[in-house]
Amino acid sequence: MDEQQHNSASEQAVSERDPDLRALKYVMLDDNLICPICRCALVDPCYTKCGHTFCTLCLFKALSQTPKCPVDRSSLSDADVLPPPKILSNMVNELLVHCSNEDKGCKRTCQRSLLRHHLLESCEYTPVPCPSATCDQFVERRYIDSEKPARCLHELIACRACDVKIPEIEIATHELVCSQRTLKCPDCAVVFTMADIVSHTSECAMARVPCNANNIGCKWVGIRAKLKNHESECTFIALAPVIEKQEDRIARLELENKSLRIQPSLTTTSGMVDSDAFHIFTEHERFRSELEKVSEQLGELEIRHGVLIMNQNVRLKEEVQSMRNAMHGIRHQMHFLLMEHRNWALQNLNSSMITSAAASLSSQTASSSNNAQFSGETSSIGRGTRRENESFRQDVRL
Amino acid sequence: MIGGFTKRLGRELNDLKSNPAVGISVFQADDFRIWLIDIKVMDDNPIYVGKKFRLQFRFAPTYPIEAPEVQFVASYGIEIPMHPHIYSNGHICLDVLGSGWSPVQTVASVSMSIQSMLAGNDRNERPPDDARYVAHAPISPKNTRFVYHDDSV
Repeated sequence: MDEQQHNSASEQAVSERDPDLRALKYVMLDDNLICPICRCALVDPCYTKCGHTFCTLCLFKALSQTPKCPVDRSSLSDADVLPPPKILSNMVNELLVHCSNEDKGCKRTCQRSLLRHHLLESCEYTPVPCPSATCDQFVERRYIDSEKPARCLHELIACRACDVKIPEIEIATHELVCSQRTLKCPDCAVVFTMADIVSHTSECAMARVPCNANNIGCKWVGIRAKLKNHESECTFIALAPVIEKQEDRIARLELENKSLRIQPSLTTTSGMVDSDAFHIFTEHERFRSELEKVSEQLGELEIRHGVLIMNQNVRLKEEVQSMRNAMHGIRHQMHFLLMEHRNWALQNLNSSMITSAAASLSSQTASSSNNAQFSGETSSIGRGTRRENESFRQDVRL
Repeated sequence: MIGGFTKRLGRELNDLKSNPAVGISVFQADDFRIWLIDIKVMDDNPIYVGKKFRLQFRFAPTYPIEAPEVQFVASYGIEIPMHPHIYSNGHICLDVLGSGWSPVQTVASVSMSIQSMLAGNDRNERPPDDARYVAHAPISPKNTRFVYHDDSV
């Protein structure tokens, strides 16, 4: 551990003169320019007889362990290590790097070979010896004012707040963070130390604060003491949970929407599904219009059919009426004929009675039975016509 | 190159995390002394299917000029893989971890070598001298002089 610290200290001392090229941040780095051993951009490259390139330092370290090429394991002695082609040295030397003081604030990028010069001569953030002859400490170049006479920037000055003695050069940064520095609260005018002011500003009753619902439209701004009062009657506060829920839902739906929108364009199969859906949709549309047409036609047909039936009905009724009339005529005629026939028969009988006036009593009984038989016949005919009539009437009613 | 090994390890760690190889993941790398790397055998070798193994890398400041100490470690739910070149204490008989080491190798490349060594194995067994070796094994596998006599596995 001790040794490591010592090492890093000596490393730092070196870096003040020579930047550590392996720790630099490169603007852009080609993989071919990386040493396979240290995995950094080649530093002082060398070239082996088997055609591989390494940092000279890395290769000699590896060779001291095993005298073989680290890449292809062919045997390699120090004599097989050659200087690199010029073009390679130029390429690695002209790589653009960020200044090694980038973390301190230097924004400069330059060629790697010029970095040393930049650090030594111009970088504002390079530590340089304190201008005072008596002081042996370092100070960043930007603090030195060449116009003014040289003076030590490490003289201790007491902090105005905490009384701790701090080098002059650091006093400005210290004062910003000194926990003993006092500050007046801009709202309530009470004086606090730096340590307390942060917690105070978040609860100062006199501080002007916006309503908690200002993100959804409440324009109220007032001192914190009145905030509670306002919030109890602020409509926006009352709406906030609802709006929040809605917003949550919208966000969720938007996400879902987005994923759904992405889905069909993802694969060709879903494209097919898409065209299928379109096909089905058009088919559906077609069926719907056809159905409409059919139902329209059906309605028309119904009306026409109804009219037709009615017409036919009327015609049939008329016909029935005329037939009934005709039947009446026929019945009357038949009746008349029957009456005629009976009259004729009676006359016949009378005449035969007259002609056979001298007929005996025994033959009288026979003729009366004959008469009875005849009247039965006529009545059966009359019944027959009535029955026919009835059945016809039933037909019409149906 | 003083302290260079931490820079190189830093770069390797970035690489491992930003652009990991299939089946190789960093389990723990809090410092530049010990890393734990989880590996999975990606093909369907029935001996290792569905299992995860943990490699421990121990680095010295001489890394990468000298090889790191690499061995398997057992943990809760993680065992030492069965292999005729892997002892039950986790030591691995593999030439790239000893005499075959080259500074161009990295944690990722070593992990991949071991991953493929497992993938190519079809013998569900320990080395023949496992009991004897484990009883007398040095703490660091680098102190063992393995004899790489068997190239069949």
